[in-house]
Amino acid sequence: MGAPSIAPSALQSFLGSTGSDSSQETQLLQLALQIAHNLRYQHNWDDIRIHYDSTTRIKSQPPIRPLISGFPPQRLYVHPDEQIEVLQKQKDEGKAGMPDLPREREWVLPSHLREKWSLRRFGEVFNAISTVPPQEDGEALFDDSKRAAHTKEGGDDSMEGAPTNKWRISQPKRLLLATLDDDSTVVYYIVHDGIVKPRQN
Amino acid sequence: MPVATNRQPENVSVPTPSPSTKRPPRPKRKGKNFAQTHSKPLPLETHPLPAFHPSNPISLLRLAYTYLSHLLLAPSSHPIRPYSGYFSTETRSVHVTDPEHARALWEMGFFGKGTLSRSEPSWVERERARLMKDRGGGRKAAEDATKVRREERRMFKLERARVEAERIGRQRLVEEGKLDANDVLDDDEKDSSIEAAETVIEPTQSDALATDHRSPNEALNGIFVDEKTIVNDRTLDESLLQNHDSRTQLLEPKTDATPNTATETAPPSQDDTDLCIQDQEHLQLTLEEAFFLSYGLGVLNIYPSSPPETYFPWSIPEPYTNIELFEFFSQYSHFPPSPTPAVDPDDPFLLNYVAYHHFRSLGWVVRPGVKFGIDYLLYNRGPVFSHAEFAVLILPAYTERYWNTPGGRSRRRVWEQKDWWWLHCVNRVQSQVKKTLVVCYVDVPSPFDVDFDEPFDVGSILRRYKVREFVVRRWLANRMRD
Repeated sequence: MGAPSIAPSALQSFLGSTGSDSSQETQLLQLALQIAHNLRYQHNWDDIRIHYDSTTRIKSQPPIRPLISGFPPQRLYVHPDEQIEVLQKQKDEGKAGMPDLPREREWVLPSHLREKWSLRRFGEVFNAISTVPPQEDGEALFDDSKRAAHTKEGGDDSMEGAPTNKWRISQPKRLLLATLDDDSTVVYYIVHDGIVKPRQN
Repeated sequence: MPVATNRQPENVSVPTPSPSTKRPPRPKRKGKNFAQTHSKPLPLETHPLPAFHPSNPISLLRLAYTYLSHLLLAPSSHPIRPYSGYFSTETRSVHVTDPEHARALWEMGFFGKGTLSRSEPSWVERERARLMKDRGGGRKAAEDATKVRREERRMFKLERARVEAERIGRQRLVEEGKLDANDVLDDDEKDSSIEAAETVIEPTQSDALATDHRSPNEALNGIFVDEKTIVNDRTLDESLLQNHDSRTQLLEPKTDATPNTATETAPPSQDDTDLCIQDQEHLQLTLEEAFFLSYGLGVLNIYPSSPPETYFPWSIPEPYTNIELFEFFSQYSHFPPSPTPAVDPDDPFLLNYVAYHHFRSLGWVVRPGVKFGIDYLLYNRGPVFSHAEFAVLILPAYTERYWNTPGGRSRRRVWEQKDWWWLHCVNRVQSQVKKTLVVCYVDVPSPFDVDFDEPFDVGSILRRYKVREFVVRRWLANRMRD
């Protein structure tokens, strides 16, 4: 009977670097890191950063909940009017289908299934964030130097062009609510700060 | 003795199969044989006695020999080396990192979930497929079939959006008086026929595997295509049909997680050897699954994630006892975890575990159901064989007298009553995905007066719980007359 094979997994080593006290702050930080790991490896997000300073403005929620921001591999949300505009432009140029829209940086709010959210809490989170996550703010979590070079090869220069999208600025703020369950399922929902026109398709 | 013969009547000529009319031999299925991989429902070995045939006296000898050998030297039903995992307090779950153990636990009973996959641990395969695709060529993973199907559905929706936007534009022009109404009617007919063709073609692309939730009837109905529409919009139909053909080819070599079987299905290319991917994934067991494997079956050893202080490099770490697991799991079933390891009888871990143990012992395969907004999904044989039939919702029932006393009332964890709208929402979601809602009431006993410092019998505590199930179905008076 040899020694049992209980080598820690990659996620465990990643989380273990935060320390092992079980205070609420550490728990929230580990939750954020676990969701960041899921985004990076399961959904191939780029340039994932963790932000602490925006959450200090949430005064009524004393434990600081770090927020994540990153680049999804495709655009996550297309406003219906923007969709119609793009389709019309495609038709004018004689092409069919939808072009690949430049991707935009998104906020991610980490949460756990057993937490209860209320409108007030959501409102406070929205008050604390800006419409577009800042490019250079926060701490980068993964060493993506090889991946960044690879995506730039594909002609993807959307990282500079995203903030000038008029749809992003004129619409209400949005974030991605990432809810973790203990069996490692992460469920993502897009949350807007206000009413938005619903999409037909 | 009358012998039954197939006598042909003389005036009917039987066509003899000539070589040209013979059917070509059916190609062998290259897909995975799930019945073979998942032949064992639990990670235990059973040794049944051989069958006894009264007409065959040798079977009696065989039966007696096997029975005596079992009496004298009983074969073990448990694996020689138990599977091992560690309890991760950061993620409130048990991780299994050994690939063989992970594969064994998944195959025998569908325990656990791959951290970076939808259910079965397949991250390394998908990552390899992604990197090979970036380099050009390579094998397709099973998730690519899902991606292609979703892409097709997205294109269909965009085309429908464009057509509807055009129709709205035309209507607006008619109202402003700029367009003739007759022309608009013809255009509308053309659009509706295109839409009908698209909606008819679309269901044929439904995936037969467990990743989609469409009934098989839709696939059969969708085969008919209106001929008129093909003339109108040939390019769109053709592109959809071509995608359909290429997608069926993708479905054939369905790969699974282990690299060994993947190399069997496709010839290995030279790039394989220099692609060294560090596995970022592990098999994650929920607390209830881990406790069932450790306490209920006894096939899993759970170790602490960080070794204790007195750990010498050459000593073997000790797994947790069932009592320690009982306390830790109850403590870590809250978020954030409760600071002291006190066990309340209505802890989420205890309620979930009682229901899990109950359904597992009845033979169901129980999987977490957060994707459908309920607690557990019950599968007849497993997720790879069929869709889940039942969706289980667990509610604590405070029926004992203690919980109605003022002290008991304040100690209840779940004190709010669920209202009708909540039940209606849950039922609506389940009927949408064609599952039956089962509301499972777990009768909670009064708080334990057990001293946790001394060893106690976990079974005596679990025995105090009772489980009652109710199936909830919506009844409509005007539709369900018979």
